[in-house]
Amino acid sequence: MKSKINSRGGERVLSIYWFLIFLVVAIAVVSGVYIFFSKPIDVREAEAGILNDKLINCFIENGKLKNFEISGFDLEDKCGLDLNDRSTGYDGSKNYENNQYYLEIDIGVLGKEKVIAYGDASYKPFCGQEASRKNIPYCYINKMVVIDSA
Amino acid sequence: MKNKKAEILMENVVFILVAVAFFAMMFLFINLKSNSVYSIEEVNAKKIALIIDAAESDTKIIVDVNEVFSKNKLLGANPIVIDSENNFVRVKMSEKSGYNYGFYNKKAVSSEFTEQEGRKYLILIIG
Repeated sequence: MKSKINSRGGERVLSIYWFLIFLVVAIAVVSGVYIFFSKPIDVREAEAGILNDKLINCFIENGKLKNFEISGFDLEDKCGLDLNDRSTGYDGSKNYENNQYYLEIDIGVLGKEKVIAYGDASYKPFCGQEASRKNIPYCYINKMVVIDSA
Repeated sequence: MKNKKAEILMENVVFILVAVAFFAMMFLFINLKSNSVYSIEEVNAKKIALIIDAAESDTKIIVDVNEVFSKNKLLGANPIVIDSENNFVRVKMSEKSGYNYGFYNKKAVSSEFTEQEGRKYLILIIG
């Protein structure tokens, strides 16, 4: 009789144990799903890659560097770009108040460097820091050797 | 003896049913979250914006947007708007939701919708 009572008691303890496991799994799954879906989908890498191609097409034609005047160079106008971010969240509020891009084109011609910079320069130090796995601006660097048409 | 066996069977059946119900609820929850209008809006707005960004001049692109139309809760309203003046894509599928995403390609973009074999497609014409 004694062993019978212990057996029933053991089953109950096991049931509570199982329900606790269910509860822990449920909390883990629900919180994991909420964390995953609350973050915006990161398309910065793709966006930076496309922007990089656009800039290359803007400055280089048939493998040759185009002629251009660096002073008063309007990057948006010359390259057909509009870099004002107009993305908004579900409530219609602006996602970002600041400029979302920093573009830097370093052109080295016979030791004389031309640098065209556009956007928020405070993003530049983040280049090469992606490994820190924090929410930092994505940096896309592309180096090309082309013929100077000048 | 017979009652004891029946009792054990009943307990196991109840336990299995509870376990099945639990995993079904988990599956439904994940399915509900992944197919919510919020994520569909964000995915489609970003997808269309990136397609426009990458497009070259004089290009015609056909995008499958059937999911947006099939789950659209705004009856009669167009859930996808491409504002070529202000350079953004808006996907709005319900009153309380909506997602805007900008594109940086300054080329003129015109859009129209078409239906083929019951599926909705967005046709983008890049000028």
